[in-house]
Amino acid sequence: MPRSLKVAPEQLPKVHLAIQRKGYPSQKQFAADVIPSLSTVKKFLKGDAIDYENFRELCDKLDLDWQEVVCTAANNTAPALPHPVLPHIKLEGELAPFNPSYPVAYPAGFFGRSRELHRCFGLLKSRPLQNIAIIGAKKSGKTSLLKHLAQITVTPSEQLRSDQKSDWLPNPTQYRWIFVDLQDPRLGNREGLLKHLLKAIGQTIDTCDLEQFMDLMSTHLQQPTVVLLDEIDAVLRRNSDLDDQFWESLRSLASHHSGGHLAFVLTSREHPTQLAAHTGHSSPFFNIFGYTTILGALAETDARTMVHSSPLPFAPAEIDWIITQSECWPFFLQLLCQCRLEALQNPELADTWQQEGLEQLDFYRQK
Amino acid sequence: MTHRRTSSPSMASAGFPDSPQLLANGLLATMQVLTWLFLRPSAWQLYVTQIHPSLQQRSNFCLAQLPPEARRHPKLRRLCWLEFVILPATIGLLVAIVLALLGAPGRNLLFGAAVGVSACVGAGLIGAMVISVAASWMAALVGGLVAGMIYGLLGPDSVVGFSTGLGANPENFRYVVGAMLPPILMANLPNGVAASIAMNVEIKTAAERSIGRQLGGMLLGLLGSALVLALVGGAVRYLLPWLLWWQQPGLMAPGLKTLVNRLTLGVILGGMFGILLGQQTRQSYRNLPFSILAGLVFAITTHYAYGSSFPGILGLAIGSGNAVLLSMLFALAYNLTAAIADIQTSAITGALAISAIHTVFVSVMSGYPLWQPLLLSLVCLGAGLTLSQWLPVLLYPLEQSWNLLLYRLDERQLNARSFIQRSLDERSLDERPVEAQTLQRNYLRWHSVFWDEQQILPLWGLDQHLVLRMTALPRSTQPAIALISTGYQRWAAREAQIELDARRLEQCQDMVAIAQLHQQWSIGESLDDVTQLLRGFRRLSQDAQAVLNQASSYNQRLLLSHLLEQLESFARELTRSQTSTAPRFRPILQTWLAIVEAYQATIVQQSALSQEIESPYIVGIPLTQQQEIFVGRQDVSAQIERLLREQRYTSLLLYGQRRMGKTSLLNHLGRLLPTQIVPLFVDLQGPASIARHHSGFLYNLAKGMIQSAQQYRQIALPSLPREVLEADPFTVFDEWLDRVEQRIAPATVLLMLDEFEALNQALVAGRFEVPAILGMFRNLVQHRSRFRVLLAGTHTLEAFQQWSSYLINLQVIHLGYLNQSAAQRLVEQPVQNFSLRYAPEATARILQLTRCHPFLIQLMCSEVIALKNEQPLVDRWWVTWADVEAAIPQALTHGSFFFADIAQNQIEPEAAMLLYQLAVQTSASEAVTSEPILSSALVDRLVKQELLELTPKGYQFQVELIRHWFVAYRDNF
Repeated sequence: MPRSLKVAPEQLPKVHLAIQRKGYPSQKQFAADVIPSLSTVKKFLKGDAIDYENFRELCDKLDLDWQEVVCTAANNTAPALPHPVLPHIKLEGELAPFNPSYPVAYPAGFFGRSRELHRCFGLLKSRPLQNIAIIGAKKSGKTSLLKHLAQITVTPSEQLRSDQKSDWLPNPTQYRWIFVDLQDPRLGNREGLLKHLLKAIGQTIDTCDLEQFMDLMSTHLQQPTVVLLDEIDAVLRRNSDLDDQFWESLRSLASHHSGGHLAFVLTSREHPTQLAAHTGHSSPFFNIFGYTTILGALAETDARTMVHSSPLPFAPAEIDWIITQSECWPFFLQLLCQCRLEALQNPELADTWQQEGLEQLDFYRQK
Repeated sequence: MTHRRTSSPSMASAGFPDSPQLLANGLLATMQVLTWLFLRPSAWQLYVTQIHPSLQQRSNFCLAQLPPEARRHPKLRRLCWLEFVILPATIGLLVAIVLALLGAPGRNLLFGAAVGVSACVGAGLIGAMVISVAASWMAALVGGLVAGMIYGLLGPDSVVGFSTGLGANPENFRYVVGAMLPPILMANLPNGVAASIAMNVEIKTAAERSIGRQLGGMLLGLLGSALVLALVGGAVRYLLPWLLWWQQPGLMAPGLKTLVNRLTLGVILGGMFGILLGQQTRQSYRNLPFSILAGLVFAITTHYAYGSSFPGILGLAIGSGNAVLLSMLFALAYNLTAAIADIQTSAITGALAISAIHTVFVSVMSGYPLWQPLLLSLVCLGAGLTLSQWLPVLLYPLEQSWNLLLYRLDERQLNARSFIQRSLDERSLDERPVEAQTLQRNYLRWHSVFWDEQQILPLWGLDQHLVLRMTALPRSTQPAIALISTGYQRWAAREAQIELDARRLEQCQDMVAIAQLHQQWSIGESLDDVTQLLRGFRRLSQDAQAVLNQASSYNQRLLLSHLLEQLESFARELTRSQTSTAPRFRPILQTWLAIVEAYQATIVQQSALSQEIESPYIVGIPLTQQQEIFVGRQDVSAQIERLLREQRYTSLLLYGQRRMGKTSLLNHLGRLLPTQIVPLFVDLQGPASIARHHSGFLYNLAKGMIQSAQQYRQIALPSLPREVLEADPFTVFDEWLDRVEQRIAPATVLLMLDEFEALNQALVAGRFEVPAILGMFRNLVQHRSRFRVLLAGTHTLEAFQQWSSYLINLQVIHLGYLNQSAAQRLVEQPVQNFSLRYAPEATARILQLTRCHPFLIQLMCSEVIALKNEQPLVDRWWVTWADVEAAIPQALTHGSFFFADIAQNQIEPEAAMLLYQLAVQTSASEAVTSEPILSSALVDRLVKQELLELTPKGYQFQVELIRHWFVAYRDNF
């Protein structure tokens, strides 16, 4: 056993969640409650190595089994590709209650969109699984919704908010969710993408052509499988070898060779048909997406629920201000809530947080 | 019994004082103290604790033990005043009155009263100083009364005094009584009672009260008294003759001898008293000289008093003399034992020793055989020692009658009250002001359980009384229950509590009440049967709460069935249970069971009502053979069948707009066509066209054929491995077809090639050679009589010239919109038992909007279902025209891929613009006839593409919904 230990990257959300569950509004508060220093706590929460004793102490304090969260040799080997089956959660920063920088990584942090969830799961709950397109502007929460789809049905109820519905699917554990981040250059080409999909259904091969891929997929698709194609416009925009033939194959796979077990859920900033036409594709692939949803701002009640989820309560006037300024867009809500929360934790920001929030809002709006 | 009580203000407010006070009237206060000592030792303990905190631990104290500040305490002084003045005076008076009533002469009256008073004072003083204040009260009371009465009855002339009893005539009954009764009664009864009381006030825990312990104490007491007896006997036998040398005959005159005897006794008693005092006060016998002096003074006084002929003086001397002597003997034995054993042992030892000495003494002095005084002694002593055992039994009938009276009074009062309350106030009992509860007369307060804590026999009816009051006045009765639950009658508290718990459970008449019960219902940790049972109910209540906490009715139903299981198993457990309380709780459980079952029924009903309409529509992907939602197309399949029957039509082309349902139709042809035709489906968008070589193409073609033969007709075609094909693909494939033909015979094969445009792309891209592939198909249809080919796509072969040169005599089948009836079925009855109902105008509107386009009908209908699912239950099952209208924008958004595909991929931008212009200019009822737009060739193409049509009024959109989209989504093209 090495003298210094670190949290396994995939366990980081659990650790951050544990801090919230223990009722600590911030890392600082948590650090004040334990023997190790704030910097050690920060390292711990970032997944950096800290001393064995400190590691044990922090895990004990959070009621975590340290052997469960520790990064061992077995889970230390960084995967060459993101893990295909479960959504890969990027965690370079800390998992604060409001984190506008990243898609919502755990279902309890996801608010609103119940109508969309209702429709999506309605299309996915019985064979044949039907295809879904999620279209929304940048930062409208597409990826969060995608990840939420994959996670919500298998998240234990104690990790959800009390009013969160999770029994969308009759047999959620049978479902296989394959997350494909098409912005990832490794997945933006035919070879990488095919391998990624095959790996997700447990098939590893060295080289792969479309024909082989179709063959393997149609043979091994025995359980409901949902391929989540995130940011499809990323590959449609650039010259990629994901050509018409490739998309047609996927269409054929979904329509004829999967026994109704396969569905695609894609996200895109623009309408893919439009993009495909602009980029010279004529793909009938997109024709199979019988349900398209366009993500707008959250409903005000959902927005308020999100704001109320803050570990430190905000004043009613502040909540109203946040709702008004953000216009209930989830990203802006998160941004302003984060500013407010930071100000509550650092009183020196008390006078400037609104100013700072508005500046950030403008910055992103211009972008 | 645990007398150490935790008292709370609520107890005092409820009429149960936690610090007892003596009444102002001396006589009454004296009676009060006596009642405490006899019946309610705890009150005595609480009272003396007020004198000094240390007395809480030792309420059987003697005055000598008290610290100086306690001795000056007013409460103690009051106690002494009552004991040494009021009590003797009362006794004197009482004796005199009783004697007067009995008709005794005046001399006897005076004599008896004097003996009573002096015995009372003597026993009280000595006892209080060196034995125990509590015991001394009893010794004084009983000693005074007994001695006073006996001597009063005998009279001063018949006195068999302390020294004059010797030589009495056994024949004379009066002398017998005088000789034997007074000493024995005076010795045994007061001492026995005193010992008993001393134990009562001291003993605090149930363990100390155990029979084993009492027997042990008794045994030790016997041993102790035997020891004392032996010591005294030895002293009398050997030491006394030597010490009392003046007793030798003739040495002194009898009068002088008596004086010396009495002086000696005085010195001995004084000395003993001094030693005991010193021992108790721990003041190293400082008092010894004074005690001896007091003893001498007392002896001389008594000596001369004996000589008096005045009955009062004589009585004083006799009473005090006997009392002092007997008390000192008791004190000696008591204190000797107390040094080594506990209070029980000491008290018994004291009583036994003194009685033994006295019995022997009486026997010797009076000349009676030993058994006679012994028997009397034992009876008296036993009666005294077992006072706390027989007194309650004696009092029981009285107490029961009294309690019943109280119960009736309370019942009457509370009934009247509840009648008034019901008419005035509907609020629950707990909500009413406390005053309203305490204003009532608290009859329960006077119940014997509160003034006779020694009563070991169950006071029947107490539990009912508690329940009665608890139901009406819970706040004021709770302390009473707490108080009772520490005493002998704790069974009543327990029974009452059980009954109250049962009533509380009974009051739960709905699911919410059951669920809330556990929140204000705490049950102890005890392991007894009843607590277990109540805990079971509590768990059920918690489970019920969990049920109600569930947001989704599905989870509620899950937990409800779990709760019902729990209830049923609990009911079985109760049936098996041996406990006496089980029959009380079983009906309650049955009620609960009924409540939960009713609730479950409601939930099931509600969820049936709130059940969402499941959308049966499948939008965007072809319907497979299993999906019953496929409707219509019998006309097309009949057409295909007819064409296939004719030998000359070897190849067919099925064409129609995208999403018109070509593939769905192909998938369903297996069902629609007769079994003599074997449809084999190959999707050319799939692996066949993406293969890189001919062998790959043929392999995938064969694979598709094999799969669909199995799927549609359960025919196993021969396999065709890829490796086999690689050497000479077309030849091998041809041979394989031979075998297929044999296998299929006599049926005809319909090879359905879906999305043939995809293969065309591969041909255009040069991946396959046109002559090889298309030649193969031509060969197939020309030379194999059992083979027909059906191409399916969105195009006719006009655009694919090379195909038409290979597939000659191609029969074209157009797949258009559904017919009206099929479309209506798709809307209104897509699956069996479809619960949604459409108003005729709603269906008509959908058909008009979609023109019976199967994709668009499904799109519209799924939107309608989504819309209805958000509506309240009353409206959910009936679709109106307005619902359809409301679904239009949703359909345009959610089905945008279909529409965008038309605008983006199927037509040119200028055509899209033309359609847009047309769309904004027209409405469903109008057509555009304006020449400038319509003269263009674009329009012709759009007509051909089935987007526009020419009507008598002019050109208009074929599908109204598409027109809507062009209006709404101008930005998308």
